[in-house]
Amino acid sequence: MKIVAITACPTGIAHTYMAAEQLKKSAASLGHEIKVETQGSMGIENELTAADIESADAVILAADIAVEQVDRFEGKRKIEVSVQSAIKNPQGIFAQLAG
Amino acid sequence: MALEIRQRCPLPNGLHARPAALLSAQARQFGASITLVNESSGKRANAKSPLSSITLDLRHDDAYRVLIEGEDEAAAHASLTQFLEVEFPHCDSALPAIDMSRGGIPLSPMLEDSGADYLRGVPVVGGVGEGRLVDLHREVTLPDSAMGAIADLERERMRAVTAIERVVGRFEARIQAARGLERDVIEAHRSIMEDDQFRAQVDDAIRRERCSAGRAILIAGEELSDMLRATGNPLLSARADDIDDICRHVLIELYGENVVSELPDIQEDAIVVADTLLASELLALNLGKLRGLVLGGTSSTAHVVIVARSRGIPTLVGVETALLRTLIGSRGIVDGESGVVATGSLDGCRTYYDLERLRIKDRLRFENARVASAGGNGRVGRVSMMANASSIEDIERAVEAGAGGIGLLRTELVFGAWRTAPTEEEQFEVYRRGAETLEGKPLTIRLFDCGGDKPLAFMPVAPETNPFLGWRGVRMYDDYAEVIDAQIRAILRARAFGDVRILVPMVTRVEEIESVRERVTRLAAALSEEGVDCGGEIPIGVMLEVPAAVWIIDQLAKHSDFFSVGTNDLAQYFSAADRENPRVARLGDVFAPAFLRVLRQISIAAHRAKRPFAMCGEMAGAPLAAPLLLAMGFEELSMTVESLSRVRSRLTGLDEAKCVELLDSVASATTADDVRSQIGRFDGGGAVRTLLEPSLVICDVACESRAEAIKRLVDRLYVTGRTETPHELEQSVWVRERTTPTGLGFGFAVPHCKSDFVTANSIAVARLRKPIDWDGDEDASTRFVFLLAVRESAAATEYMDVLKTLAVRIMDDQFREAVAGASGADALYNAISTSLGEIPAMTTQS
Repeated sequence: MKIVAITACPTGIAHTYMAAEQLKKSAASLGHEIKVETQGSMGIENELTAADIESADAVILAADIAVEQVDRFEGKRKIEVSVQSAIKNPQGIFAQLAG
Repeated sequence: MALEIRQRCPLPNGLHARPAALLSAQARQFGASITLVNESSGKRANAKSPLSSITLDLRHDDAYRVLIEGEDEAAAHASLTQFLEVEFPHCDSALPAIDMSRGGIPLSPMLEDSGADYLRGVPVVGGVGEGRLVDLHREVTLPDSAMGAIADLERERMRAVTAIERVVGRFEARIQAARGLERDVIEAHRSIMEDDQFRAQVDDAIRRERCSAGRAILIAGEELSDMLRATGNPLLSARADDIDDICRHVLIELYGENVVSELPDIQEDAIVVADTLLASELLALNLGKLRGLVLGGTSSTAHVVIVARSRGIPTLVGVETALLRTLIGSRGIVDGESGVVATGSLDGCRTYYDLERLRIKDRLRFENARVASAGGNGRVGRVSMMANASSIEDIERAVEAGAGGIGLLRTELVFGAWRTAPTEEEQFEVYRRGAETLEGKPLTIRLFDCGGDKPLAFMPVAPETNPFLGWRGVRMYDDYAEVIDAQIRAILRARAFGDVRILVPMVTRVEEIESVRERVTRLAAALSEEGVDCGGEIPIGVMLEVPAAVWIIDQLAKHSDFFSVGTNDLAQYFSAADRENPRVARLGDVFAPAFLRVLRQISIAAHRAKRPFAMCGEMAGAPLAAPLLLAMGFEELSMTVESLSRVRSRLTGLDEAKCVELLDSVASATTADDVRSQIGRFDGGGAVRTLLEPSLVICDVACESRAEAIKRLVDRLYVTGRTETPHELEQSVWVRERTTPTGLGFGFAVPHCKSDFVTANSIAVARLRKPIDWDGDEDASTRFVFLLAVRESAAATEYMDVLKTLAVRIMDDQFREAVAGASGADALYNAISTSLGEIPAMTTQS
């Protein structure tokens, strides 16, 4: 699958990036393609382009705060989880997507 | 017809005990009645009675009148006019300011969390001490015979007089034997006892109340103390304690020791708690076991505090001692740094104070190791690292800190409190001790550097309109030949005990240094004839602080062996700007292009004259200046002991050729700020501090709490010289920690802050012996703590990159295993530094 994701944590010091890392590793091990946009205290990094979103099969929103520009994902298959679950159990998230 | 003198009070601290005693000594020479009148209050006082004078509460610049009436009033008028104009303004010096606002320093969270109870006070003597709380409350109980109506009043009046005389006599004997502060205390007490006012009031009380001598003493004492305390002037309140003190002495003389309840016999480590404590009581305690002092209402300038300070006993004043009543007998800790007394469950704070002691010790060890590896004690490359000193204690501290010697001993501060000139013998004692403490390292003794703006009681100066441009330093020596000769003889004799040198202040012309040299030669010859060993010819140096001297270095060099640049005064004279005046102080900036040119001129002239040159002003202790001073060829930098490690660290590894390039490039700067920013950006190949170093990684750390872990890591930064302000840095970390706890899970926590209290961007790491609770950590099992501290100026992205990289690494099983499994601190350091390797090197010069 081609997946896009957003990770967004209120304090933005580390959990945002930890979640992104976990999702990337998990995706790789399961053979999925993934691009993760982080919304942390450094602002928005690795911003998803319209093309990225267009070609994606699913969207993972791992966020403890409101995701910026969430209307980009209108009409796409979405799954919303907490940042913690992305860190602790990324496999579970992909399992949900697969099923 | 009375004669009058009108004056404004010139004394910095107003008319209190010491100057009042001097004034009364003058006044007593005459039979005429001499009255002081405070113009604003109209109050009058007998000038012959110090007590009477101080109750006038004359403050600095208050207008007052002196009324003289009697047979010898003309003579008295002449003498007092002279005294008030010449000596009086300089008979007192400003007391060291005690920061009374210090009571509010926030406690380290480690202390707060430790479970102990804290009572706040104002710290007046620093240090930390633990002991059993001992109550010191002494009762006075007069014998029955002294109570009630008295038949033979005459007898009581005689008994009072006799008792007072006897106590004065005993004080005389003790004054002979006592030295320094104790002597000051006893002298102050004696002068009160001899005061007409005091005796008159006692006598008056006997007649008025028809009571015993003892009761009269108590009544008079209370009247006087109340009067002094009522002025609201802390200096005068402190004297009220003195009155209580001497009353006790007289009562004991009248009725024996039993009249006052006994002082506790302190056999084990003790913390004394008292509402008030008298200086003589403190001196009577077993000071060897006294670990701390907690006082209620005592003034910070009271003699008891002064004595406590001289003995290094941590002391708090202004404590609500009533709250400690129920805790008497239990153990407590006096913290003279934070200003609290800790009671109750002390284990946690004991660990804190142990850590405090440890960090200071470890810092010293770290510095010494650095110094040793840089090769050569007391030097960094060609530059001697010396210290400035104002006392023997300073010299001892300098030796401990690894200084290469003393570049400046300020003798006018060593003997600053003396009212009569120290004898040759008294000075020799001090200089010899200094030389011996230094064990062969240089001791540069500056001759008395005093004047209108820096008065020395025994070298008084008539008031001048412009003392800073007036009669000071070497200019005074011919008129105080005896004093200077005694000093030079003492210095010459001390040279037999070490590498002692002479430094001459305020030199403006060749004649001055010639004259000093002539003196030295003559006195050395005399000593040699007396058969006294003076250890070979003594080097004589010229202090370069008057700009005129800079232009005749070649001529001065013919009569001197070295030069030392006093940048503080040189910068002021050079830019005609007073550094105490906030409107113009920045004009005297030592980094101003003009001043740098003066320094270059000095270095070139001194080189040409083949004389070594040093710097002893504040600029020597400024790490920012180090590359320039190195490039100019300064062979010796003398600074405060506290600055030694910073400057050493700045100089270590500096590439001299690059420094010379820097010197050339700042020559074209047109502003001091431009100079500073060029130096700030300078990458001299020296002291580049990496983000992580082996000394910043600690393993197998016994640690009970989050607060302790943070403190231990902040202390690591202090030990490695990456912060000079560990308490403030700790507070910065907690500001962040309280906003959002920094536990990341997986056993990791990343406390961090952005603060200029850290001098180089740093990561410190601790692997704990056992996991602890870290607020916000889901697993409640934190074992790996990474403290990240970066400077305010560090770009936000660099800072976040580090955290981000760390966070991402923590997700990596291999990284977690490497960190958990590393065999020791070195292996842990390797594992972490390889892993964090890609972080852009966040190096800083400080």
